[in-house]
Amino acid sequence: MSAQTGASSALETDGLTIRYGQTTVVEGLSLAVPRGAVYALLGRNGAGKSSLLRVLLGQRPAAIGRVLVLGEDPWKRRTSLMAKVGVVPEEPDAPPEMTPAELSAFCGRLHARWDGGAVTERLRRFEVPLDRPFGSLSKGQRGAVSLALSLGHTPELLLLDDPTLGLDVVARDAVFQEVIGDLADRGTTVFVTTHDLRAIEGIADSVAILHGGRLVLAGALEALKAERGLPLEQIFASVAGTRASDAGVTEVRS
Amino acid sequence: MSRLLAVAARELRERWLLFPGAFVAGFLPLVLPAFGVERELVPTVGVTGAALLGAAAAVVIGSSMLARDAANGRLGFLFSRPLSWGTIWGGKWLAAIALAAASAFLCAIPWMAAYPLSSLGGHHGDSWLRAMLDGPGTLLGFVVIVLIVGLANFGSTLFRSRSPWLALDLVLLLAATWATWRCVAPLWFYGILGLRPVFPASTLLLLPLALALLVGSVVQVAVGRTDLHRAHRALSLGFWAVTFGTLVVAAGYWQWVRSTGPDAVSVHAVTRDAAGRWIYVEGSGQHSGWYPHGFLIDTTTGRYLARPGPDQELAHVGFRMVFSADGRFGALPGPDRDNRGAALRLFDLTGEAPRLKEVALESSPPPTWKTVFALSPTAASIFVVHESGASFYELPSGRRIATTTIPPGWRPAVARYLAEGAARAWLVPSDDGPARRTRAEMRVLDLAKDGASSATTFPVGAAVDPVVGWRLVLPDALGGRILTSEAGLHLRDGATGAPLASLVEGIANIPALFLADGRIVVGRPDAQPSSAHPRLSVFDRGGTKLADFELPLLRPGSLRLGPEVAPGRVMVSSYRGWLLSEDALTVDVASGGVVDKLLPGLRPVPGASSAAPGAGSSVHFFNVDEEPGGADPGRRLNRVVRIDFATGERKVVAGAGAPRGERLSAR
Repeated sequence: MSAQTGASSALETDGLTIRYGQTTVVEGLSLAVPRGAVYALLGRNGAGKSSLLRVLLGQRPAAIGRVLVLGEDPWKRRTSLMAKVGVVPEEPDAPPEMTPAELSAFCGRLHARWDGGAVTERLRRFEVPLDRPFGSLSKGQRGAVSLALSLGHTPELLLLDDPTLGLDVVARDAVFQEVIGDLADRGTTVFVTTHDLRAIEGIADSVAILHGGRLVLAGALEALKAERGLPLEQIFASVAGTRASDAGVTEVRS
Repeated sequence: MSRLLAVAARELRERWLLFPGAFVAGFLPLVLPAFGVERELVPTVGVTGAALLGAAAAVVIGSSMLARDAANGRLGFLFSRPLSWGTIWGGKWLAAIALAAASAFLCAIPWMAAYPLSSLGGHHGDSWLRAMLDGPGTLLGFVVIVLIVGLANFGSTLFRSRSPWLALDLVLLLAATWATWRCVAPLWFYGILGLRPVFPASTLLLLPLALALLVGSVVQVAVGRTDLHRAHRALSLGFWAVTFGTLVVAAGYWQWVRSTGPDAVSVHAVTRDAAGRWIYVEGSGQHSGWYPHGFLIDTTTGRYLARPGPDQELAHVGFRMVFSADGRFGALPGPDRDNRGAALRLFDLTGEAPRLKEVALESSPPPTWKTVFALSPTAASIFVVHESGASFYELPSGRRIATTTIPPGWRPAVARYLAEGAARAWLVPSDDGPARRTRAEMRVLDLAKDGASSATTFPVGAAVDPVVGWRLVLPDALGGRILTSEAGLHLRDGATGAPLASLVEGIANIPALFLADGRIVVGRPDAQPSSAHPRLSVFDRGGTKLADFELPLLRPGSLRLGPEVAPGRVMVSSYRGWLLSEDALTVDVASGGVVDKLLPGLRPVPGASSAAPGAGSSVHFFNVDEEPGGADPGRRLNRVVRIDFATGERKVVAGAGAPRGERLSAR
């Protein structure tokens, strides 16, 4: 399957293969995420979602294939890209000894454009204490801090790596409400990897399912559901529940 | 720059407790006097403590700044910001160096304040800070910090990644250690890297390692980024590339040093065979430190053999080649491969090219600079005398065939073969051991191949300085008579030390020479203080003066005699200083007349005199240096000139101006 490509793509891969030594974790992945879209990449644990995120963030190179983020190669142009990209990692990775307020100030020194007031306001909305070290916050609060920091420089593209993993229902809803409420109006592209199907069902424009390192399903969410007459959970189960080699790649165009 | 500082500041903030901790630790030396430690020791303890604390801080941050952050995912926080890898790397290294240096400095403040430098005396002025910043110690300290941080980072990355590359690292470590021992250690050992006082040699040696660790960590961050396995691989590649690149350069330089030919050395020692064909020279080459180049040269053809490996040079103590009287063999003594005993490189000179045989001397102690070797006339055996015994070794087997012990308190001065199966050594008081004291006595030791031995201690006229006493005995060719130079010059029986005659009274260090016919020639540099010229005296075999005449040489100067270039004709020279011209004369000892004069520009070199006389040979070798004001007056260019006094032919055979002959390989 070849991806739809063009200048309107915020994120684009073509024949992407990712390897760790002799182990291939993603093979021949081609997809395109239009600018302004909310795109969900679904997959079971070990499907290759986090590895794909690391390649998109320029933290490791592709073994084979092409990757473009906002039109640039993330391995070569990572520094300039990170000024336009926000990231919420699966495991919050901020220095544990710093308070959220200090983290905001620290990030403010790293970004040319930083809205510290908006970050503080967002943290207050999440009811995160500003003066407690990051390491002593609850998992939900740490996720909220990561999200707030990822939005402080008003990114064009937000990458979220399973941001609701381990969060309770309230915290999970808060994260996605924040994403939807704040970003949809701005036209920010959101690329989220998750296996939380219910949470993204209401917000994603498009979904792709990664299974065993291969893309097995991609398309507009509503068209997909209409075509199969099934909720997303059952579609996922029917596709990701089979071996990758047995599953033909299906693309549903809206 | 502000981003780099922000990264560095965050690293320091994480470890801020080290700063007050270091300051408090700095007070610990101050309480030591309360526990009976001498007050003068406090600064020493303080310096040591500060250095150790700085090293510990370097280990702490070095092991956590990259590998730990990559392992627990925190490095991703920085890599998902608009920070270049250079900013991340630079910020972390800046913090590491600052943390280590500041910890050491903070730890030093309390005792430096309590013990002002001026209160301790010494030569470093009155400011601890100035004393620390002056000199090469600061650079060395910086390099050591980089080294410790880099090693801690490397070790932590290896440990945390647990990748199969670890096995390759260990193999490369072994290879690099071996290559360092083979190629870098000799450069240090021979002072080739010694650029003191600009750089301590140790700093220069550590620099490539520190550079390799820095480059490795650069590649680790630039290529490995947040992936620990990939980071380990990148770190290894960067580190080993620089390490082996440096080793290749060092190996190339070492090879260049070793490839020097006899035409490119300044000669400082010469020995010769009896016939005047082969000489063995040692010298130093330009940019070769004090590496002792050694060459066995066929002076008739110019072909030469470089002193062969393996690298026993590392244990080289300055032994020179000895030749058999029949001219068929040369033997180069030295330690064996394990430095546990003595060995010989025995050269058979009878063929087209020298044939080499390595001979280990059975049950011999490792030679020292006090060990004396003598090769028998036909090279059927070698006589070895050291401080605790003397032995005969059969050649070429190396089997010990006779031995005797020497009591403590003696060391050999010189040894001679009396015949093929008997040898004699003269001993002087040693400066080692329980018997160390100046004594007015010497000892003569005889040993035969059948094991028969005898020793006699005899009194001399003045206490023998144990440091220079070994130079005070001069035997004749067959060891029947000796000259001892203590409170004058005395002729003695070689077997018993019994006095035969006093040739000169009172003064010491008198140059003398036995002629082939048994006469004795004695130089008198200060025979008559009122005279502007030294004198030469000639004695018969029994010590009766035959002649005494003035030499047309200028005083003051160190007079040197020899060799006897023709029957009754002796080379006499006077050295009056490096830049002072001198003459080397051939004097007829019967008439006192000057027969010949070495051409200007041929100045015999003091302390590295001409080769020992070859009895009956008309060929002689002179180690000479450039005429003052030569091409390079700042550098000694000693060379060896071969003169055939029968034909008048003279040519340079070693050193500047010598033809570069064919380099031979020992078979």
